[in-house]
Amino acid sequence: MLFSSNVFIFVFLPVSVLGYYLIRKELRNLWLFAVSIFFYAWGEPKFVFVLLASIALNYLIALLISRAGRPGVRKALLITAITANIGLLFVYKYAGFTIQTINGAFHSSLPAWDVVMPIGISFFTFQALSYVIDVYRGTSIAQVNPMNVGLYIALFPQLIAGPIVRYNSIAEQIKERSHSLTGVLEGTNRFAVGLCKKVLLANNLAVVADKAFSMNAAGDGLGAPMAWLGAIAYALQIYFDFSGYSDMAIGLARMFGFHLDENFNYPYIAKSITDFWRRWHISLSTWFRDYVYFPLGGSRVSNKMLIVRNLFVVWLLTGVWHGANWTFALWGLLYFVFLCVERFLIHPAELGKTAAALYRAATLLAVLLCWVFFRSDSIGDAAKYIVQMFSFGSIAAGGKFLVYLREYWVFMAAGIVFSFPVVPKLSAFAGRHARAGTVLKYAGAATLAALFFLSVCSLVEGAYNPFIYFNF
Amino acid sequence: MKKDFWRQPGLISAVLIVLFILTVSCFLIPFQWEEGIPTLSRLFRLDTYATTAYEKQLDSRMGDDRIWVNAFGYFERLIGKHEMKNFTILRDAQDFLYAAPVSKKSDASIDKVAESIEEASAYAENMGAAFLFVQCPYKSFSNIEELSDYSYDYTWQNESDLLDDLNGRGVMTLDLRETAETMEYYKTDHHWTVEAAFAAAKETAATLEEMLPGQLSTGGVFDEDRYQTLTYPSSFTGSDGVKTGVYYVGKDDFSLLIPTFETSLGLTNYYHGEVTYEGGGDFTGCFIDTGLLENPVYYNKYNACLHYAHCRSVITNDLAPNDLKILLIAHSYARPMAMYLSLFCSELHYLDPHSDRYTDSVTAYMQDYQPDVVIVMINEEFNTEIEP
Repeated sequence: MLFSSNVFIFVFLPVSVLGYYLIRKELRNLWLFAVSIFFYAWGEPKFVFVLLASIALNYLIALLISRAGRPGVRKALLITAITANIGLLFVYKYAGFTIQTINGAFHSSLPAWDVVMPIGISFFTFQALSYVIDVYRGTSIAQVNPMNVGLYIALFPQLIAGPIVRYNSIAEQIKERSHSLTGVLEGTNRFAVGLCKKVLLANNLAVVADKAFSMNAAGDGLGAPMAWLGAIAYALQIYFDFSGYSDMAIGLARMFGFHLDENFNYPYIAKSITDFWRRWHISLSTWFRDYVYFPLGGSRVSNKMLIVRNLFVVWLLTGVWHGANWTFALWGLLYFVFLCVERFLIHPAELGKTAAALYRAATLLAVLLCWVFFRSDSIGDAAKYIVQMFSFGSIAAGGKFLVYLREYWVFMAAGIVFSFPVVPKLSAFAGRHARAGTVLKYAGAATLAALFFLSVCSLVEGAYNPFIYFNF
Repeated sequence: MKKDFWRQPGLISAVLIVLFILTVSCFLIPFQWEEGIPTLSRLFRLDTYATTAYEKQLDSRMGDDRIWVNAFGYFERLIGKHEMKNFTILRDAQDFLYAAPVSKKSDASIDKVAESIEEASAYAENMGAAFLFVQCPYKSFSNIEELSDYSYDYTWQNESDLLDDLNGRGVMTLDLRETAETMEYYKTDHHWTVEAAFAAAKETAATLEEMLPGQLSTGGVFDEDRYQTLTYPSSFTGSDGVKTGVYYVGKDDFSLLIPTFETSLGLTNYYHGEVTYEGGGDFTGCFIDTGLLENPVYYNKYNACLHYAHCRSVITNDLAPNDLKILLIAHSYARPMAMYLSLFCSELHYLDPHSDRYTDSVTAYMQDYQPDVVIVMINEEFNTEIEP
């Protein structure tokens, strides 16, 4: 079930929230777990068993780890958990791609592995791993109640598109959390903001991006202007889609009394690539930092080559986490190169004002070019697309560019404006100026309610509503 | 910061949103209950497609309430968009809507259509009936300059290719695209206007007069002075307007040309052999569904002509200026045209092979009916199978 669907907004959401507050307090977690399983089953009921198996396995191993006295046994159990979780991910996500690659490279004819991937598997597997590792490290206590582990892994707001919630950040909230009407209403607002980002911005920007990338793949006279428009549209689409989903997840969790960590912080104002990754999909980058980079030694290693190795591993994994395709691997490795450059050659924090401004622009350009690899179906297509972007001889081929700009400029402009922290700035202004601030606050509230209504209109009207996390 | 900004007024917006969700839910959930039980049962049986029907029904139930589509169309209009639904509907500078563009037809597919028309033509001529292929001017944006970069519509070219093919085969043709009066359309619909259909009937009758010199008399039935215009202002939303909502380009006026001279007509409509309408009287009483025209909720006024779409319509004219029998093989554009064409002949049988309506052999029909004139106005293949 998608958050941006009528069945979710008008059936599942009111039933799950009202049910939650109408039943006895001690049954609320059970209710939440049940509706989360139902939420997951809605798209493909068979995959509920994969989710339940993951919950059961990680619950048991964590419990065994907490009860095992000998470090060797604990370590063996941890390795078992990691192998099982990564194995599950491999079977559903990477086995087909691996066989295809082997067949291509060695001209072999291994039978194709064509399985449908359970939605959100990358998210819930990483959450499950976080739980077992935290228990192993002793930073969290193993849950005795299996339903609480189930709730942590399957909690529907973050189940299919994150954020990747760390067990130690939510363990206490599963046991005890406060509820209030204000919390529900704040959650509603946050959900509405996310829905508007997804439906009004991301979905419309997707039309432009999809056209540009399909023209490129078909060799249909893309031209530099349309190539740039498509790349910018995609950068904005993925930001508003993903951050919109995160907003909806945070808002929904808030309705049930949970406080989830922020997942995005205006990434396109980043001063450097390092800064970008502190602002983009924060829950994923911190997960890799804490569960891969630091255990490898992080930056505290004896020589630079080891740092390079550690960065390489982390960014290769980050890339392929997003999908089983060489485009994702290359996308991750490009960030590896950029981050190595920032660590060893250029130090963005030490640049002068002009150089820093130029570097900020270069960062944005690098991110934009990386998105081309991320969005393309193959590395060849991505290379072709980038060549188009810089083929200034093709500027004249601007027919489609003008059409798409004319039709979607409102969404492009809104996307660019809201990529900057405009709302926090207005909020600060409202705080400083009492009268104007009040007007601004009411105008903001009215705008949000109106945009929410418009988002629902768009959903009913059947406008384009892609789900871009199937690879994840 | 964000929290401060949304503090008190934020709660007001949230309350509005919650009330809105609950209100819609209260209307939806009870109606969806019936579909919900089998859906749950299929879910428990691990049926992959368990939920598809439920979601579809819910979406369509919401879509039935025009408020959403109308509001969204109004928003698209406000921001100046000329396309909707991912370029499947375009709007020109005069606010005319155009549906998804037609792609270029291959020579082979044009040949196939031409073949079936040629077969019908040969069969008619063997029976001693005159045959005329009429190229209807379909609404298209082939020649709308400002939309040329949006998409390319091959309608015009496909029509020209078919006409060339037919002319090469020696089939008698009439290209209505050369008559400006026939190229008047509704903003919100894919059909021509009733007035354009009248002009088309007039042009067709004139061509038949030329084809059959001295044998035909139109009796002045196409003299515009003998008609009065009946208009239902802002009453019509056509098939494209339904998709965009009424505030995107507004509604169309729906006008009819009503003869002021005496008429006495009969109409029987058939849908796959079943009689769906039978009536008679003067022009309005026989042909026009006035209840539909006056119904403020029903917007597709085009359906008032000939009482909706059918596979076959049989029209008789007691006061015809001649004893001509016409067989008209055409799609829905011909519905208003048939009304006017029937005024200058004693009988008109109208077969509509579009969308699998009339699927039987038209040549077999010719054999049974023995028309004096056969008119084909459809750019599609149809059944010309000759029964042994």
